[in-house]
Amino acid sequence: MNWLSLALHSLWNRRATAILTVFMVALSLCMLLTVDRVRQDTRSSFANTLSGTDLIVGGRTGGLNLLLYTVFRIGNATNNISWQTYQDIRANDAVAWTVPISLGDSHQGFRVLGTTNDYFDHYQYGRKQPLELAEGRAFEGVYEAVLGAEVAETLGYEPGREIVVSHGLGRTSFENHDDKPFTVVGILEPTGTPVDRTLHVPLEGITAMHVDWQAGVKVPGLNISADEALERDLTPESITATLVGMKSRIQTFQFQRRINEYRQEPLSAIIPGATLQQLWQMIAIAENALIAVSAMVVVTGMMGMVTVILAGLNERRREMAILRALGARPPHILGLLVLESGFYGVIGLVLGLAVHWGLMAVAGLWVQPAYGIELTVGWPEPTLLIALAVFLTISFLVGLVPGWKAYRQSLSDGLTART
Amino acid sequence: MTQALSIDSLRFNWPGQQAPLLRIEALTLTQGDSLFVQGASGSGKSTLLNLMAGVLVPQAGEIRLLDQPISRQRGKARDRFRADHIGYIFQQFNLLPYLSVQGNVMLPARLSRLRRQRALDQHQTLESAAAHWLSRLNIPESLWSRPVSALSVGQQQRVASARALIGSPELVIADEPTSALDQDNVDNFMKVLTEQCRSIGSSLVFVSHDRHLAAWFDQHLTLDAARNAEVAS
Ligand SMILES: Nc1ncnc2c1ncn2[C@@H]1O[C@H](COP(=O)(O)OP(=O)(O)O)[C@@H](O)[C@H]1O
Ligand SMILES: [Mg+2]
Repeated sequence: MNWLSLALHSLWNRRATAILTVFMVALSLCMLLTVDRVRQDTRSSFANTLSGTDLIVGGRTGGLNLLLYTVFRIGNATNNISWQTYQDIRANDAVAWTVPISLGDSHQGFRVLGTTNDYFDHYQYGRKQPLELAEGRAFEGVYEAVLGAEVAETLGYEPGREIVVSHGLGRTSFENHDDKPFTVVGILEPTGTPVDRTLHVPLEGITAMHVDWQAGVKVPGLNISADEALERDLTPESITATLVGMKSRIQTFQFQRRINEYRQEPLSAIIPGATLQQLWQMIAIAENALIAVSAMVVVTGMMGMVTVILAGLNERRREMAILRALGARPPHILGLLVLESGFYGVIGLVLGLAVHWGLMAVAGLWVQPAYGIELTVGWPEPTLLIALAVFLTISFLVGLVPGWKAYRQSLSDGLTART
Repeated sequence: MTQALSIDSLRFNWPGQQAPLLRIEALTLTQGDSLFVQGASGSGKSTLLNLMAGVLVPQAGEIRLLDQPISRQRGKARDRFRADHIGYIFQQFNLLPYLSVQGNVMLPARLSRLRRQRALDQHQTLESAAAHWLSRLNIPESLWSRPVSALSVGQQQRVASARALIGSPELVIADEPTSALDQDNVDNFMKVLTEQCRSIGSSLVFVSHDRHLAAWFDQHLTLDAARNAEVAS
């Protein structure tokens, strides 16, 4: 038996307090670990939403706004781009492919996106993963829809089902395009991105829905049936935005500049990754505040731990006197308390990590479908690992505070502790 | 012949005390003999034992244990000496609540290499050394693996004696170990403690304010109110 095992026995003897103290330390660390992890996972989820697209081009607007409404379905477009401009971009020698995007309608709170079959060929997410159909097929006719996985699951839709698109984005829009229903023809595999919460229809379908509308309202008395609409030219006048793939990435910057200086119409072109970076800078303030609060909680936990050890010292005067009689040196007594506080640090960290991992695994089950953010379980990032190493060191060092008190106490008590 | 203890011109006072609390000109205790220290409460009995155990050092004079000038040695050497050569019994609450009865008895042999070696030489294992002393001090075997809270006060004091005796230290020091015991238990306790110390040739230094116990001892020391120690034989 050595001093370490004595210290552990002694701690076990005070296990109710010890276990609560370990939990206090563990939960404070768990909070820090979880906040940091969620932050990272959010970033990588955002970063994984779109890949392989070199530029997004839309009407003149803030870059961040353009990114949010085209890719994340957050916010609304203020300006469109004309079909002629889209054709210009598409015809440019440097451009490999384009995917037009037309937004503005919804179904049961999910957004409807007008596009072409190019969308299914060129849209990529994560590490350049293409979209896959889980069921059915891509568009062949005008009144056809391909659903994101979550839309199909939430609403219980199967291929063959007829749906009605609502005008505008409200969940309970009163104005429905019920004269031109769409048929579900395909359902996409889940991607963990906003694609899952989107209904895709052909651009011509969007035009057809709006042939008897003008400036956002239905023209009174004008009723053009679905079949009659098909007779007309359904080429859209404008689209919301377009995704652009370059033949060579080197040309991206130059092409971006040309778009931003386009004469015929004011346009904005953004590089998704660069604009995402802007987004991070904005939310970094909130993130830092959260991290700071978590760090304070860890410090509070550490102070609580020292308080618990200090408060227990008086009751342990007899224990110290017995150890002194058996030959313990005052430095041994000091070491005993340093060990105890370090023990709280080590076990608190181990437990904190375990709880954190458990939390991430369980929370991931509903965060992923609800927010499209994939929570991951793994080791903390290097800077946090360094911070944890510092925490462990400090958890031993703060033991010097009660240790020093016990050292003084045992010198003055000697073998005659009266309590 | 080895002196278990010899004191020469000892002076000790606590910080803030004007006159010395302890003043002992000369005292010697031959190895194997026992010493009874008697005095009123506050006369400095416990302080003297702390000096003998090397936890305190005197302001003047010298204390020698087993012919070594313990009071002149450095703290580390004094603590080592105490672990190796002294078995200590408190007035009460002698035992660590988080170890079993047997665990408490084995503790000195685990913390001091010398006492471990002696215990092993005589009993092969620490468990059987503890068993030996526990049965010598009349602790029923059924209690050996119990927590110490299961014991009566008298039993606790005998377990503390077993712990003081394991590994055969040359000196056993007891600070009023009988004050929490009733009369029957006191006689029983005095009998086994003095017998067992004699059986291994240990000197016993025993403090009490109860003068009736003096008969059990070879030498007597009285710390009186005038704080001048009187030595009688
Ligand atoms: N740690 C200490 N610090 C200061 N004074 C002490 C300390 N311990 C004991 N004393 C004082 O020394 C005197 C003798 O105490 P003590 O040796 O415990 O007497 P006894 O054991 O004979 O009752 C008392 O007046 C007490 O107040
Ligand atoms: Mg006393």
